[in-house]
Amino acid sequence: MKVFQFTAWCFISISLVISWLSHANSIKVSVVDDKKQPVEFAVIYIKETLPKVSDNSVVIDQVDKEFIPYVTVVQRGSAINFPNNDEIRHQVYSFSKSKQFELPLYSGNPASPVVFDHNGVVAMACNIHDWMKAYVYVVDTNKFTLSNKSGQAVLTNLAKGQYEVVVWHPKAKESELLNAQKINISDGEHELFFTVAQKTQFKAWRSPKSTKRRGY
Amino acid sequence: MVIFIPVQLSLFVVIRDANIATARANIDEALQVTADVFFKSLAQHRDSLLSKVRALSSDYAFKPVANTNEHKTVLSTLISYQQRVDADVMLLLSMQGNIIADTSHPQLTTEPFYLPHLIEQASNSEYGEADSIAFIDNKPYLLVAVPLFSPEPSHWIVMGFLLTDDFALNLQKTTKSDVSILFGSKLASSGNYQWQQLASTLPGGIRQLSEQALTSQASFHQDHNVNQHFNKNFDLSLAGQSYVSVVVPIKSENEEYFIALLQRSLAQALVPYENLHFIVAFGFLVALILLIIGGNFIARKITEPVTVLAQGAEKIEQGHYDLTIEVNQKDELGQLAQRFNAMAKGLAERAKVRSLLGKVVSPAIAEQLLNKGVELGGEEREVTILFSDIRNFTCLCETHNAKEMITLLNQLLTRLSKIIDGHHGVIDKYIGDAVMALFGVPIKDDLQAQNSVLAALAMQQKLVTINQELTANNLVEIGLGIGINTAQVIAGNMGSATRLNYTVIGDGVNVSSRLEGLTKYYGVSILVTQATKEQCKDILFQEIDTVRVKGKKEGLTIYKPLGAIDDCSVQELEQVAVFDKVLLFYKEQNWQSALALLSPLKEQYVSTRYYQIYLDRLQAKQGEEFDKHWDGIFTHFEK
Repeated sequence: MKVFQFTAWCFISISLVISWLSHANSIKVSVVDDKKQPVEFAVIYIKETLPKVSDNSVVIDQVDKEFIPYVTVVQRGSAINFPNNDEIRHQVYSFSKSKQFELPLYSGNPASPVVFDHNGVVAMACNIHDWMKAYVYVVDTNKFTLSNKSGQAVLTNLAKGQYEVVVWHPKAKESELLNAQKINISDGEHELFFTVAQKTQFKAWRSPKSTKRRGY
Repeated sequence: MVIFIPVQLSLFVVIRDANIATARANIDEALQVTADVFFKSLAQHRDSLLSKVRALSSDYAFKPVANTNEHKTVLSTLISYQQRVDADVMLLLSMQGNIIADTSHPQLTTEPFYLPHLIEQASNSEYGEADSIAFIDNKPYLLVAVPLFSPEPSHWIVMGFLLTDDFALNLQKTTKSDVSILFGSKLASSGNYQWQQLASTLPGGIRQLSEQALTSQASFHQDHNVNQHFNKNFDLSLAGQSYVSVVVPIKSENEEYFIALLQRSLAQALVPYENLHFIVAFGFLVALILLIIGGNFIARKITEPVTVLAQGAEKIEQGHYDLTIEVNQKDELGQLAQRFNAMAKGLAERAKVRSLLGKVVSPAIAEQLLNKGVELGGEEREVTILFSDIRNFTCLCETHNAKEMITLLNQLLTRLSKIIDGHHGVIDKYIGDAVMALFGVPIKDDLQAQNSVLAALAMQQKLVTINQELTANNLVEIGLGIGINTAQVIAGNMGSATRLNYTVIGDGVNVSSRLEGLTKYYGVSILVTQATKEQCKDILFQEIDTVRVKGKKEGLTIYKPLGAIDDCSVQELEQVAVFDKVLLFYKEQNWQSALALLSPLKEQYVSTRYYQIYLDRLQAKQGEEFDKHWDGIFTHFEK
């Protein structure tokens, strides 16, 4: 499975490079936080409404008590499978408005994937392991991408025209609508820079790494 | 005693002060411990609350319930959980701080939380958690707020623990200190602090006093920087009982204070020391009694005998030797008293001897005997010897019994002796009715001759008085013959080694005795030798005769003293002058002229015996031729 994934990623990467070479109309996006640090796992997408897909299968693994990947972007209507690759059971849930679901304690593959048919953020977690968190961002377009560790991403295959590019991140202080930029695409390569202010996150003292206790 | 009592009292005070200081130090330490325990306990309760809420926030059964956001469902769940974990209040709030359910106010459904500060504090904290002490319905709660992650922070869970008397009592059980929790706030009107008691372990009677006491304590009432008095010990009086107190702040915010008043009764802290006080006081009493007994013992055994001895010494100093000191002790003081008594006895005997000696011998001799010691032997001294003899005394004897005679004689001799004493003469001895007196011994006297003559004249003068008395008592008058001679004689203690007396020996003694005998013959009262007469410059003498007494070859000129020259009358002086001329003619064997001068004198002084004697001699010599072998000395053959 992992070998397959790796091969798939390689293939996709190569094809992306090829397509970038063949389709010159693209936007190179750089995302930094308010401290000028590159932001990974930023969702970057073109704001447009396309009919929902029906047969787009995506996987969020549970490996070593972590969700992989941490952030997933899907087009509305996509189904996501949550295979449990750990030897222990997990219980996945979400109380997000976009999608509320629960996968009661299970191991291996759940009976059926979960379909995400509303736009927006779906925050999910494991009920047993408080630190296990993952985000699914449901969009109406198929033009989306995620920033890498360098905070960079590329949107390709863009036809000429007016676009609004939106950036979302789980730790973004403001709503994604405030992190939107309009761009006029012509032939060639374009570049956009986003600064996403990070909101203060409560430290999860319940994670295995945090054992700090306070005293009076 | 004067030293003992102040020393003991100061010791007592020092011990008491030290005990109080120790008690205070113990209290200070105990209060410090109480403060530590108090905060630990509070932290424990807070941690306990946090643990419970954290457990709930991770409870996947609760998450769906919370996310329903249904007031009734949530409220029911909270009440159930609250009972399970023994909390006093529970709330679920939205992330925005609106109430979803509140077990203390079940009716609230969507209202903003009445303690927004707690949520604000939690929002700004690193872990999204907060704890505080705050009032809910005027009751103090220890509150914690923890976010509910689902998985993003979706709600606030608030849990509270009511700070009641039980909380304080639990602390008291551990720390033995009284614990009160008070809330202080500034009065808008005066700006002063007012304190309200929330929980306390103080007993019912003084329970409410702590807030009044603290409010009346100026530093906690009027001082706007009230916090500077925290953590400092002070004395707080509750219903007359002194409590060492310390105020520790639990929470201070906006000039409002939650404080813990930790107290310990000073009286209770001193209870263990009261035993010590009792022991010290008891010891003091025992020591005092022992001191009194010891003092009495010393007074009786030492002070009293010493006082008695001192009084005895004083009496002896005054000359009272006849005393006996009563000290019935067998110690050194008893021995001293015995020695003292022996000494007094010795002194008494010595005084007795001296007194007796003064009677037996002349006081001057007695003194010399006592001072210079008694030793046999003598020295050659010029001494004037006076012999006196009472005439006609034997006639008195015939008409009176012996006892009366001795009494009379003693009276006479006493009076005569007194005159001799008065003229620095010493009585050598009494020989029947005769007195032998010495002048110039044992103490040297340059006027010995004159003194002796004056004494003799005084004795004759006294005789006049005595005779008047005798006459008055129908007794025969007495006469007194006195012979005086001054000569070199041996004076000293004479006799045997065991019995001796101070006297003089020599021809000179016999001469005075002879002279005394001659007085009767010449019909004069006093006769002195030339040796005596020559030493008497101020006395007028009448030469009487030149005699050869028995056992003597040389003639002895004898004189009759008439008195002090200044006192003599013209007739006396004339008489002396005339008779001297008679004697001159007599010695020149000019009988005719002598007789011519004497005859008128005799006619004038018929009673003068020696005029008659010379008249007789001259008449016998009348017509006798000048005899160149005649020396004019009349020889007396009789004694």
